[in-house]
Amino acid sequence: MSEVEAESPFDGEKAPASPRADLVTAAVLLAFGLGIVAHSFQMPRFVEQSGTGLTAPGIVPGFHGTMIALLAILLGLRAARRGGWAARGPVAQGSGDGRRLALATGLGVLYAGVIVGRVPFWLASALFVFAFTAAFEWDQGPERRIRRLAEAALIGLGTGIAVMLVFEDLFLLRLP
Amino acid sequence: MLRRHLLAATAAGLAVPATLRAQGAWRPERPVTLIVPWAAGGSTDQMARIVAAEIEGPLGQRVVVVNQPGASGSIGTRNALEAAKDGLTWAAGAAVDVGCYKVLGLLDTQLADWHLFFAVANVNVLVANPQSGFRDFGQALDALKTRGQGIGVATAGVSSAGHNMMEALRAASPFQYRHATYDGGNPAMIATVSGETPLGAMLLVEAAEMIRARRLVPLAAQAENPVTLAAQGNAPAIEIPSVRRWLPDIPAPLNYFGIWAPKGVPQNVVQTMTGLWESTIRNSQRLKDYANSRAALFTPVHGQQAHDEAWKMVRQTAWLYFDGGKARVSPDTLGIARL
Amino acid sequence: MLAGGFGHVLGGGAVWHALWATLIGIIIGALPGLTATMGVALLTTLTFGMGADKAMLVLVCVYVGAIYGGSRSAILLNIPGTPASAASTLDGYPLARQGLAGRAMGISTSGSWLGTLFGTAMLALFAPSFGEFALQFGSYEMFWVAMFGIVIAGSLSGGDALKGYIAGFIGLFVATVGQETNHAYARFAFGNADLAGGLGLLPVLVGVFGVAEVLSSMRGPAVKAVSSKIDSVIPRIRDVTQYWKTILRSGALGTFIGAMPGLGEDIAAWTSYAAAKRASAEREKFGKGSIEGLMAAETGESACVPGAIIPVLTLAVPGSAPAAVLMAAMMIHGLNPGPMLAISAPEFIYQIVAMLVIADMVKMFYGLVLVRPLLWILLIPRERLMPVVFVLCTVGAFAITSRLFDIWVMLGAGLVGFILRELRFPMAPLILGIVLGELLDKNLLRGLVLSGGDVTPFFTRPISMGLCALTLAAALWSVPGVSGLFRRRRADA
Repeated sequence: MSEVEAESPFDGEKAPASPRADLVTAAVLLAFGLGIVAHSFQMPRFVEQSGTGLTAPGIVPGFHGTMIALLAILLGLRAARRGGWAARGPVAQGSGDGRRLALATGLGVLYAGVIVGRVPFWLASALFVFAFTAAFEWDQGPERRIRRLAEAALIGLGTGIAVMLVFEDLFLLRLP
Repeated sequence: MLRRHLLAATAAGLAVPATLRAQGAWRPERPVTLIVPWAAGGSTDQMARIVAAEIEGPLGQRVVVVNQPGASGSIGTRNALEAAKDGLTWAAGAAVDVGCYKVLGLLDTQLADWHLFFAVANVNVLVANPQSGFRDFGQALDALKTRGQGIGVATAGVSSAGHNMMEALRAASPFQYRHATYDGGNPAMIATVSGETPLGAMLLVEAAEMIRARRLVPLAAQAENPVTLAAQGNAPAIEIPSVRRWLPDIPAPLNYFGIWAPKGVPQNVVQTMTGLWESTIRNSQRLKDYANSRAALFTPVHGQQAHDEAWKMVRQTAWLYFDGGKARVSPDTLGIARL
Repeated sequence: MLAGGFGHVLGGGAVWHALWATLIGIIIGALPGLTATMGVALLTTLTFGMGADKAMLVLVCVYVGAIYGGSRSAILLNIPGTPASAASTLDGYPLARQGLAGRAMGISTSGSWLGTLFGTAMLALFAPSFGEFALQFGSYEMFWVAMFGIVIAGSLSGGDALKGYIAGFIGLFVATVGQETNHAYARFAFGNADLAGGLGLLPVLVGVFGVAEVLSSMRGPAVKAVSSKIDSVIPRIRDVTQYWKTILRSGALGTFIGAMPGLGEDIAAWTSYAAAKRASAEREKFGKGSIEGLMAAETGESACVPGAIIPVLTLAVPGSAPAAVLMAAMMIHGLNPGPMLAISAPEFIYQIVAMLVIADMVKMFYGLVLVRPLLWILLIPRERLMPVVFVLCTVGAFAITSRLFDIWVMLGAGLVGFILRELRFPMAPLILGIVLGELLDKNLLRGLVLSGGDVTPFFTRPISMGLCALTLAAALWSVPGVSGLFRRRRADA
């Protein structure tokens, strides 16, 4: 196995999050955990029905919330000791990354969150696959762009129709 | 093939299902969805799959069972209620649940809002672990009355058939019990077999095999008359006494299971299904065998008759919820009179 | 008796049925969202008109195939096809990224094949006693099983145990959303009827693995081929002989977990993986492409299948969700599984054994044949593969209950999961938390109800005592890991 570890593509991805990011995360998680605890505390206790109050719905989530809050404090302390209060860490990603990420997220949310359920599923999927492929391959330069766009349209249409045939006819599912 | 689908998809997109315009017999042009609002493998699921397989031949279209469990069956039932009224979406379940969702505040619907088609009726049973020492219902009742707060009773959960049976017993003869809830009738049955609880209340279908194997003692069935568990293989027939032997005044309505579609579906859908119920379902050997071996009653009733039969248990159960403090609205305001 | 079982099952086109049913199972398993449970339920309806023997053979083949198929997408795309194969992503995907996808699938095939074979042997030899032993696990014992799982969650985090535990508790919290069982009170639903039904494991799983994977794959700089070289596709004998201890341990664990009601293939895979990591001499490779880790997860989940059928046959108690549907199908077909089966139709147990063996052999056949076509997936540029994967994820999230709500859950879980992944929170403990959350919650409260508020049964019942000791030991064991963390921190500073 040692012969392959040299080219591990994970080296970049496995870089730990910056202490500053951890500090912010810890704050968010602390608020999240405390929110759970507060909400759990407000739940009805059903003391009369159970006789003991031991079946109160808030006990278990309250415990989970407490643990999340405590672990968040630990995370915060660790980040602080690693220099989380110091000036902001290095900006990890280039702007191209951010643009691609926003594009993928936007298209995904638009497709699964908005279009699906309003437009026939095969059409929605075909449009999504086409838009996704076309947008991400646009950067590859103008040569053969028409051909790439045509291929994207074909893949989109093929996906939409194949998904419909396989899921509705073979697996008898009703698609959204 | 593709053309058919494109047409179907377009039709769906325009929300003008062809069935609305169709004349005469109902011939669904797309698969019919049967929503089971409980997990796959349970007693409702088994019944629904047999019914689906029996009607899809004469219907000339696939009937696809979809499991949508959650929130005491109200999520799946709501989806059937809110689906397009084209007859292509049905729900399965126990009629009493549909009749009581509004009382519990889970779903705004009543039994009269549905076209009902019943297949089987189930009986609730109280069973005991053989080591618990309870030999008959009388002993168990005495124990519950004197030291009930220490006796665990396994059921499939709040407002399950078994829990409702315990509440009905308690209404007839006050006692206490430790209510242990499980994820379904089968796990509740196992808890009683393993001795985690001395008593269990569930559908007889769920306990039948263990009763035959003598791993559970059947104490009483919630039925007007004794119930006979048919002989099977080496196991002889077993007669389970009616709870009325000890509590003569207790109501013992039947728990009807079937399929239904919300009112508002085209008339020809209801007519076609009624015809199927009168011919195919009434003569279904598969359903008869299934009911017989699982100690359920084969009850192929539909329409107004089905509603009136199921209404008894709704009246009983709705008021049990109300008396137990679980009702959001009084059954009175919904026109549900005490049984 | 066993020969009679084979003789009875084989014949009348049985091989043909086994071939198509196993392939359908593998496809269902490999598609994210479509699970073994759904596959068996679907085929129950479709095989209604067949004879009982043929229908059972088809269902067993679908079950075995689906559990195996889930690892294809786990290895190739880092998206588990079924919850059972989430543990296979931990080492399967790193192997694929190193250009060893073919070898990884070979390991998965041999591990899975041996696992099912091992479990089937257990079923044939010890079915009755296994079933009775499973009955000893009541609410108190199940609580400790869940606790044990939570304690090992930190060790699945691949480095940062603290973040592993946080992810685990977030998963546990997600499992508490929706109606609880004692009073049917809808927790964290805020009056929303869909939330009252809870957040499904499946949409969340498809979200945090599928959607998040699509996003993190697309964000990176332009095209870099994942792997162009096609490595060996034939399973290596040495991979098996070298890790025979791991295979036996995972097989036994998987079968045993399968036999316990309420625990399924997913927990079998996690437990086998964690146990292998504990016992391994090459612990540091786990999570970075360990053959042993992948082998353990695959053997465990596949051994669980026959394990889950054991209590179906002896007690009419399903050991897992797909086994519950299989049992319902048996009842629909007029076969009455349960304690009477050994008396009324003892030959049926051996017919099931024969069906499992046939399914396992057919699975092996596909395992060898399908590797090369599946590797082509890796050659598709991500700009074209990822949108299709996203569409399949959407269908998968929707398919299980046909609710748009589940698509939104998938989307939300995907976005939150992506952010957590960016912040280096491991996803495996999160999923384990959701799986174990219900188990922990329900069994703790039920145990307290049964004992009248007394906690002593949790510690004094014999099996509880043993499990408690095991959990404490596992917790203590992870302390050096924590101290290691502290050491590293000092080095950082």
